[in-house]
Amino acid sequence: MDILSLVRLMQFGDSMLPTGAFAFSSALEAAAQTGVVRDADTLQQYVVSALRQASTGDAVGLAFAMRALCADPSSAGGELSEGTLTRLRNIDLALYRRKLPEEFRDMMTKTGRKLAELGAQTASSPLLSRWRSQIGSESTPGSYPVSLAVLFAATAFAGKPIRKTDGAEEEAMLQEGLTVYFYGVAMGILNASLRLMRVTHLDAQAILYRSSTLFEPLCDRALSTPLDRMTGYAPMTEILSAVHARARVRLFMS
Amino acid sequence: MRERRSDVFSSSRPAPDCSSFQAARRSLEEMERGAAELDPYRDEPPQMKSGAVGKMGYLRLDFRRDERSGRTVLADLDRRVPLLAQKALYWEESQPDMACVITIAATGCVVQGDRMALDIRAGKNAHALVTTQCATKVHVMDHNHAAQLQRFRLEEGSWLEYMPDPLILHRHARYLQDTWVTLPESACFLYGEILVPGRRWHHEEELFGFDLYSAGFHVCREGGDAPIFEERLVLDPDGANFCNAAVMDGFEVFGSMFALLPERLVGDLVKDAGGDVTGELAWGALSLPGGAGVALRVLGHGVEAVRGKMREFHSLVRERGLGRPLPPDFLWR
Repeated sequence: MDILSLVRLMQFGDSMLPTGAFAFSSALEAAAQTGVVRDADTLQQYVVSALRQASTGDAVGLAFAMRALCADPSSAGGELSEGTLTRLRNIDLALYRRKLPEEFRDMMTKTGRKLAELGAQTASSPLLSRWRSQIGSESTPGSYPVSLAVLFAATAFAGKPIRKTDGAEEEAMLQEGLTVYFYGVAMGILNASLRLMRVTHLDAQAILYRSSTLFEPLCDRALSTPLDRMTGYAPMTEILSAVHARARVRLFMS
Repeated sequence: MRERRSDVFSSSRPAPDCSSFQAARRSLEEMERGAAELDPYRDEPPQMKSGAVGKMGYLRLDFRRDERSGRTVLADLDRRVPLLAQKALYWEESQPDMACVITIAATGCVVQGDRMALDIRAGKNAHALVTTQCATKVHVMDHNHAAQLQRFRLEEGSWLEYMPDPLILHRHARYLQDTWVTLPESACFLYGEILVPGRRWHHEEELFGFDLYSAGFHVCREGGDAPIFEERLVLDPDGANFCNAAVMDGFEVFGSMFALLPERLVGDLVKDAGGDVTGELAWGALSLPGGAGVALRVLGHGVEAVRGKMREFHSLVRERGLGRPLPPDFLWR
């Protein structure tokens, strides 16, 4: 990996990236209030469950959005085709209609729109502005995973168009994108946990260190799941989101 | 893989056709082909072949409103053993025009290689309730799997409730299910199921000892090209830790309800159904994407508590949608 792509990876993976994700706790706020998450051990379970859910859900959408972009003429320096745009919209809608808790739908579109805006302003690529105008015209929800895929593709193709000889570049890009996504899922919850419950920064780092060993098998899982077989099972998280939506006082938006 | 690229990007399948026994059989086969999670469980049983005569149940119920009597009648029915249905009764005291039908699986339980398809239609302004005679027990399996396809089609102004008794997964059970609902915005569909992960006191490896439970739920509008809400729950005890605080947090019984109804009712229903986590029960009501309706998730330690919460929600939906709550439950149910 060259230094530029490493820096880009660090920038998009950074929890400082202003996507508004810091305002969402993925229902950890309700979990902490009801005592479902009460210590470092249950917090780790919560993080692992969120990662598992992501690996068969949103991460699958992210992977397919990246595959669609890699198959597009724009990956070799050409124009973005209408067919690819339709594919991206379909993936975006598929992710949206499978998100059961309303607050999670809110989170995925708010951060996705913010990311597209941020990308269009910093990277100034035609790919990003096309995607942003799609979101602006309400023809697609603009979920975070698809926006992240577009951002990744825009920066990768601008620096070094994909040559499509053996698919190795596509594979590397998919893995980088998924890693950044999983990192964001784990960090989002851990960041919120520091403001919600009694855990130390050291606990949070230890949990991140331990759960990041799962990234590799979860990447494999996301890469091998077909788009129409996205799954999930975390009823307690859904219930907590419902409890959170009713709460009188809230620090977070989810 | 490369030449299938164009299909790979399709995010959903068209709604299956179950309008006849043959069509349902084809749709079931297609559903099974598409289920990658079934791959370890496709070997034929050494007993009767999967889906053989007597192992491929089919039930089609057609409810219509009879204008002369002013109530809903079971106008048409088609069936193949082991599925059958009793005649329509009118036991709902608060809804005297509502046709109530009990479906029966004559074999008593679901065993390996069983296939079932259900096609229930509610005509314009028809009101019907369909339930089962007893819990569905999915028996111990060592070959193959069992699969069920459920298709519900509703017309303008209709009201259909499908409330089967709990599904009990014995150890090493493999069960695949898909539910497809097509309804207009003026209709109401209420669906509730309870999942019991084994017979608690039966065997030390029984609880959460099943191999696979995979259930899809898809909501479509007539003429719409993609569903407005979709989900697939895949539970495989090898891959998931059910004790995880974010998954079931020590609860065993999972109840899930969907009330698909006009969008104007959604906001109040979510608010009134509420949500809470206590030591005995956890539940929460959530509004579905696309204005499709409301989902209720319930977790509990026993069937009774979960069923009680679901009945409360059922009653609330009746009150909001039909003006009257549920009558008291039968003493023998």
